[in-house]
Amino acid sequence: MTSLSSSSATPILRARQLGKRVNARSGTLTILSGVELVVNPGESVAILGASGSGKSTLLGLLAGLDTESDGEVELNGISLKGLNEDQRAEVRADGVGFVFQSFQLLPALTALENVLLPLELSGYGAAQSQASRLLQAVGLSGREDHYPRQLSGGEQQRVAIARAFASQPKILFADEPTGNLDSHTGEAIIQLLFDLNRREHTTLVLVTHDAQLAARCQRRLQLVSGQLETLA
Amino acid sequence: MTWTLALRLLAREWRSGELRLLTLALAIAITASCAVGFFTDRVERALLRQATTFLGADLALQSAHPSQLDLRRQARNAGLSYSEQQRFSTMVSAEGETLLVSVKAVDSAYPLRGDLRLSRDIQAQPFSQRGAPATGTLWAEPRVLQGLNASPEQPLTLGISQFTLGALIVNEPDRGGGLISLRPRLIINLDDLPDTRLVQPGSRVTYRYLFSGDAAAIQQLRDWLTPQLRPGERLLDVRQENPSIGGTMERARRYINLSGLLAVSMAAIAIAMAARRYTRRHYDTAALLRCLGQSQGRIMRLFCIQLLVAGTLATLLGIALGWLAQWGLVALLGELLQIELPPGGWRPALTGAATGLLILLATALPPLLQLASVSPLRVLRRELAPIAPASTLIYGLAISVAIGLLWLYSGDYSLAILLGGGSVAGTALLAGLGWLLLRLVGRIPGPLPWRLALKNLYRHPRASLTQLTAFGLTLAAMALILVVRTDLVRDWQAQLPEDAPNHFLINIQPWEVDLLKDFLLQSDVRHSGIHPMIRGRLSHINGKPAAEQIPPDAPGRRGIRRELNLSWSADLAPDNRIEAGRWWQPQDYGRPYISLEAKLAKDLGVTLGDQLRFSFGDRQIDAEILSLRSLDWSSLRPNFFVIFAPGSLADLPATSITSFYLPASRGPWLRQLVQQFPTLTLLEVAPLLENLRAVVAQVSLAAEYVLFFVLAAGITVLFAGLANSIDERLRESALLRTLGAGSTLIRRMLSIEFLLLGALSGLLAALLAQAGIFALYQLLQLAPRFHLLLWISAPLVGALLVWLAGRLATERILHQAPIALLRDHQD
Repeated sequence: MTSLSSSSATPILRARQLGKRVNARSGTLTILSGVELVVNPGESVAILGASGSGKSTLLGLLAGLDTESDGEVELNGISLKGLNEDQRAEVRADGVGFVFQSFQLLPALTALENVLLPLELSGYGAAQSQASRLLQAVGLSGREDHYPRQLSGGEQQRVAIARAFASQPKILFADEPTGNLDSHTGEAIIQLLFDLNRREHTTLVLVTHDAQLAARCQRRLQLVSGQLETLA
Repeated sequence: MTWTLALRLLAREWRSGELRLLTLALAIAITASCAVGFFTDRVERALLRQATTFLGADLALQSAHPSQLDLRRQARNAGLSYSEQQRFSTMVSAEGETLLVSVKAVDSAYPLRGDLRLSRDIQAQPFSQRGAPATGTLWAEPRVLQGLNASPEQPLTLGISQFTLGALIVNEPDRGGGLISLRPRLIINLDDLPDTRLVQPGSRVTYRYLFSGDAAAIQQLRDWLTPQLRPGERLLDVRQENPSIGGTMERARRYINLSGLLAVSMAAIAIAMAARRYTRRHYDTAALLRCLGQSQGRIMRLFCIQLLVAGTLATLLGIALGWLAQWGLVALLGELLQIELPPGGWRPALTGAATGLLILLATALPPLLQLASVSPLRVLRRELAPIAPASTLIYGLAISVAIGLLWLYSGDYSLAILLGGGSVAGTALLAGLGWLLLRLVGRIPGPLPWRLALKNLYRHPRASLTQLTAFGLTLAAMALILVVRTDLVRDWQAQLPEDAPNHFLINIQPWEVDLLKDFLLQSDVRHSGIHPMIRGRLSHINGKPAAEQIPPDAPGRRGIRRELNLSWSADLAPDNRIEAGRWWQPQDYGRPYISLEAKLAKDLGVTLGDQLRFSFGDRQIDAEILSLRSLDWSSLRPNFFVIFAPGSLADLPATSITSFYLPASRGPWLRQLVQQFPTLTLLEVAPLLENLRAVVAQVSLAAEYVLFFVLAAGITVLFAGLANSIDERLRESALLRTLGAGSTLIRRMLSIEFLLLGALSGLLAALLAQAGIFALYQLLQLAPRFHLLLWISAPLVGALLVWLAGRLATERILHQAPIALLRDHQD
């Protein structure tokens, strides 16, 4: 059993005995088993692992995008176990942000509208000004009316980051946020992510295979054979 | 090597489900087109057989003189049944009374088609009969006895022979010659004819040589006979012989062909959409194969073989299902149709197979060509899409194949060109209007789900327009078939309303006209007006003998060979329409003006202002054509080729004619009528009406079931069209869910999108269908009209159908974890 926790009070994210199995042609494949994790508010945690180690699967489970085979995830003090898809969406809407490797912007919406979307979903009052402010913060003022296809990869990821922070999330999940970017752009994006994280007092859970990027986090964990280990 | 690899890849594709939609669309399309083909082939043949009973044969050669050809041997060699008749008018007498009758001398094979009904006496139950009367006996219509004032036992004299009455004729299948054959009928045995000495050189006799049997052999015989026809000879088929049945059959055939055509067109749209999706999803495979060193040519071959094999399997499946569906329909319909359906032919299966493969080639080849041009760099930069092939290639190929198919299906190139051209123009029109509508609707503000839905439609203009156009065309085709069917059936039924005249009264003497009017009024019997009638022959056109002006084999010859029924009238009959010129005013009365039926005028090659000379015995009258009329011969009202202005024929002896409806329950009233007006001749056309009604009912029913298949093909298009955009929709919904959107919001957004897409398509469909109605109705001889209901129901039904199909296709995403969707549907 692996139990990884920091010392402080009410955790924002907790995984207990978390496991994930899938059925393959050769039989049942165990991707994760008995994962224990506690993340406290304001922390930044990197989860490292080789390709195929199950990093993204773990992220999906922690963020409530997927359902577990065993164990339990508690997000923002709410256990996700037994919740249906709608109930989990409600938990996400209330304080969870995402940054994906492949940006995942809606192609039909402009940069501004993409950032506006989570605000509109949560019925936020001053959505327009908040979204503009965020786009400015990620260095995209003047590009509000551009569609994703009119933006470079780095710019698209900036929009995605602005969108992730739009609903003022308590916790932000990032899946290889620089995976599709060149090193220079990647560096700028990481800087932006950590700056915003500090400024907005957000908890950050980052999945990556990039040791340099992981080193910028307060804690680093490694996924090996479906289990989490703390790195020195 | 390529084949093995292609088949191996195909097996994997099948397992992964990638080819399923394409194969399914193709199979459903072919099922629909085959079933329509099989079914209409059989029903059409059954209906034609039913209709041939009006001719008493499948084909008849009519001649003014004995044929020089050995037709009996020709028929025997071709395996056809054969019969001969001679027809002429003569006097029959009984104890000093004489009557002009129409004699038909028949042989033992009579009738080849249809049912001859006889009865022993007026009260007895009718029975069916085959063959000729026994020698020395004859069969007569009851009015022969009435006219001769004879009892059934009295001998009847024809020429120099004496006959006894064998039976009374109740219904004669091949009465033909329009609705009224004026003279009462006698049927005798052909072997008795020489003894009567009635037929001498120069006698006016019509010879009929009748054939029935296998359709192909009949067609061969027709092809053999046509070039050998001599002056005075012509081939008869049911269309010429009985215009009202012929017209109904012709329109039914066109409608059924049209339905088949539209089912095929819609199938093509479905396949094109499925092929587009298949191609788009194979960019990565193609790029990878290129990376692995495969040439463009080999990649093309690989995909083409896969498509061809899948297409062939789908085609075979489609044919089998079509065959089954057709049997199901026949089982369902057999009793309702009350006609024996001939076995199905192989042609629909072959047509179906050719159709399937041709459509696949035309619609799937252009996008497949794209796969060969995928850049291998795509494995690194996924946004690299292949270069689209020249649009002239895509559209040129699709349009030529479409028009070819339309022609193959209809065997009617005017319909094919009309539909082909209409579809091209319609598609362009729909795309343009669709774009305008999307822009217009895109500006309407609303809550979040509404805005998201609009954004989706508005921001994927190509996908939205493709869907709008495809759904618009499909809904238009469905609406068109539905509306045309309704109008056709209504039109057929309107020709034969319940109270359509079922009795004719002829030989009404001038002094009886007012008395008869009063009697009918008192008896509460509605009649169609009492019209004077006089028989005259057209002898000269513009001062020259008509026989010199009309070539012997021209259709106009019919107008001068026999006496025409002429009339005069102050008013234009309600079912007559002036096509050219003007109807007369009171100041024209007494002047030699005529109004000529438009088709006869065309056959005679005359027009307004031309002078026609008519002979009435030794009197001759020259008259000027003042107007041309079209009229409805199937209305069962007395109608005339030539009508004179009132007063111009005043001093010529004429009798009158009328028709009226009498319900069967008032049969005994006829006895009163005959007693009151003993010199009138009463004709009952009820049996003919019943035959007509049966044909109309069967044709209407067949139209309903053909419609069903058109609708099925249409729904396939909807599914294929939605499947095309479903990946994008699934991915976007998953993303929204990741951002915390609940299923209610996504459900609302998708519903709004589908409802809007359907409603806009429906609106465009209404426009296109209305335009189609105006164009097509010329072909179907229907009066075009504005269909308000179409404009209301098409958007509603469109919205409902697209919403239903869309919701069925997307419902599963609402219950699935978004991570799976984000992984599966990354592009």
